Amino acid sequence: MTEHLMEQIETEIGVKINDRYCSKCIICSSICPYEAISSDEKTGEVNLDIEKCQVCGICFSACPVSAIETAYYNVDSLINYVEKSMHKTGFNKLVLTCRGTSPLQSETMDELKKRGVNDFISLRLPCVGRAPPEFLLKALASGINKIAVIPCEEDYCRFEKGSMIGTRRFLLTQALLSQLGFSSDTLTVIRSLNKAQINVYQCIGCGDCAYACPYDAIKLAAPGVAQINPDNCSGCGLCVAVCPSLAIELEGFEHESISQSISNYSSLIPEIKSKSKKPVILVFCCQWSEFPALDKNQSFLNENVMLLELPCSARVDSLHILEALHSGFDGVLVAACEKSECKLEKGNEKAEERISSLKKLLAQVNLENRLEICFTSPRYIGELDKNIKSFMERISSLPEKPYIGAFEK
Amino acid sequence: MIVTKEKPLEEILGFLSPYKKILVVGCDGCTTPPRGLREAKTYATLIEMSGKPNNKNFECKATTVGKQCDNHDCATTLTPQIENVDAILTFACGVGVQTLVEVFPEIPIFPGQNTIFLGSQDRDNATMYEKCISCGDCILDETGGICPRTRCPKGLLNGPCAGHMNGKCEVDREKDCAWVLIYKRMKDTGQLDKFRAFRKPRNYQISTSPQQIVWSSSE
Repeated sequence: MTEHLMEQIETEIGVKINDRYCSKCIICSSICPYEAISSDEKTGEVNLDIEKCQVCGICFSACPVSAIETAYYNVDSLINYVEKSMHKTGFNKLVLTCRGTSPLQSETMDELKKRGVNDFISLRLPCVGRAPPEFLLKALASGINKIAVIPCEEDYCRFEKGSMIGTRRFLLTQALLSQLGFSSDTLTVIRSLNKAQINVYQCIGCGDCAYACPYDAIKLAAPGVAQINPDNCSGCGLCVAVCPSLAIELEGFEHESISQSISNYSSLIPEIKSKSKKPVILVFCCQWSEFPALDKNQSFLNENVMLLELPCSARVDSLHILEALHSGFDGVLVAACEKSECKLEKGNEKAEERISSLKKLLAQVNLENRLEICFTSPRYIGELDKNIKSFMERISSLPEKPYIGAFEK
Repeated sequence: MIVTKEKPLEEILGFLSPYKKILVVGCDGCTTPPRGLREAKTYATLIEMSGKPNNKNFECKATTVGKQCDNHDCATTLTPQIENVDAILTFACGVGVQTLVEVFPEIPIFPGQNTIFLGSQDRDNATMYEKCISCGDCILDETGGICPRTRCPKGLLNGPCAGHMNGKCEVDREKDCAWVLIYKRMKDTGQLDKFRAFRKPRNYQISTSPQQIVWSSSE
């Protein structure tokens, strides 16, 4: 992103209510899970308190007069994405996933296959509750013949009511479609959620995960092995990042696959450096702390900034940070949600603690300035970019080779 | 559990600097904080990383052993991995380091951490407390389950001394006087007669280092 563009969008807000179209029906106000929308008793004017807003987009999909404008994932850009992907891949099935349910678990993949959804276009949204029926109908009109929606299990929705509202809306759309003569499997809903799993053969029974788990989902069972209660697990990945024996995995975010992504990225560093002298950094990003334009998951933000999304900043693993610094990145930035806004349980606070203790370790080899954590929210567009920019500036000013006393002798 | 603290990286790099291929071994046993595979990998990466800009190309591998104080466990787990290894850096307690030395006498072996004490873990305060000096002559039955040999800096067997104030110790005003704790505990559990009884000096003859016990399953 060019600097000029970045400054331009700095103050732009992610969600706005357009007074010109608003009919003051206050459906949005009653549906908002965060009580961010209120209406004036006398004038009936509807106001959005952006500081309370979590940018889930549920109001956007509920508004009957399209008066809510959102900077991310509006109907036009979604349709545009679907049409482009159809053209590119030739597939005409669409799978709509929530950030909480993607990457797709193997069980969900099997379920999709069973329902005849094989080659599909994958569309990932922060919450499926933000997809309005209008989008589904337009997608069908543009050539899609089957849509599978994969919302999170209802009790685990990161946006409180998004999964519930979204699913009800899909059921209504289903009824509408059958009235219009579409077959009943045109729109299917499969519930899913990524949860942590313990490899009992690797568990050493230290109990760190059981103490750390904010959901009380882990207990030490006889004989000294941790046990996860899947009913309580929310899939934040905190236990994965604290386990000293690397015995816990979160499907889609395994140690090995993240390491692989890091080494894939780092193999590109020499080429990038030969073109420009700017530092190359890796951003571990909580997937709720920013909404980049349509699905930039696991990709470049620009060529000097590589982005790796995680289910929550709680999953940020100190081993992966070290790996990144070791494999040639000039710096590592961790982006977490703002203080009280963790979509899970205090994952951002845990991440901050972990980063500060890792910084102490890195300080012993004079590398502490190459790691930073920042707190952002998608409510202001470009907030993450601003943080990245100032981190890049700091990295540029650092000496290239850190001095380590032990080797002087 | 055996409480340990990692050595400063500078010290570790200092004694590893003559070597190139290093095996970093964690221990999944009782060392606390846990020094398993994660710790071994962390240090393996850190050592390679800090060598690089100083023209020191360490090649580190990370692994872990179930219990490093078990020579059979060490031999079976590590033997397939020590080929071409110049030195071993271990994250076991002092016992584990010495066991490894006996199992692999031909390889230089270095401790990655200092072993501090046998203690308990208070998770909420993230603090470890020393609780036992393994004296070999347990008197916890006479002192309400609180060890004065460990928790009284003077190791008094008939306390408290006159230095306690408001339940705190004169050696360190932050710390509780072990004998005041013992008194309260004995009073609460109706065992003050035991508290008042005279305890003979510790028998050092039965606890001279180094000790050894022959353990056999036929016993």
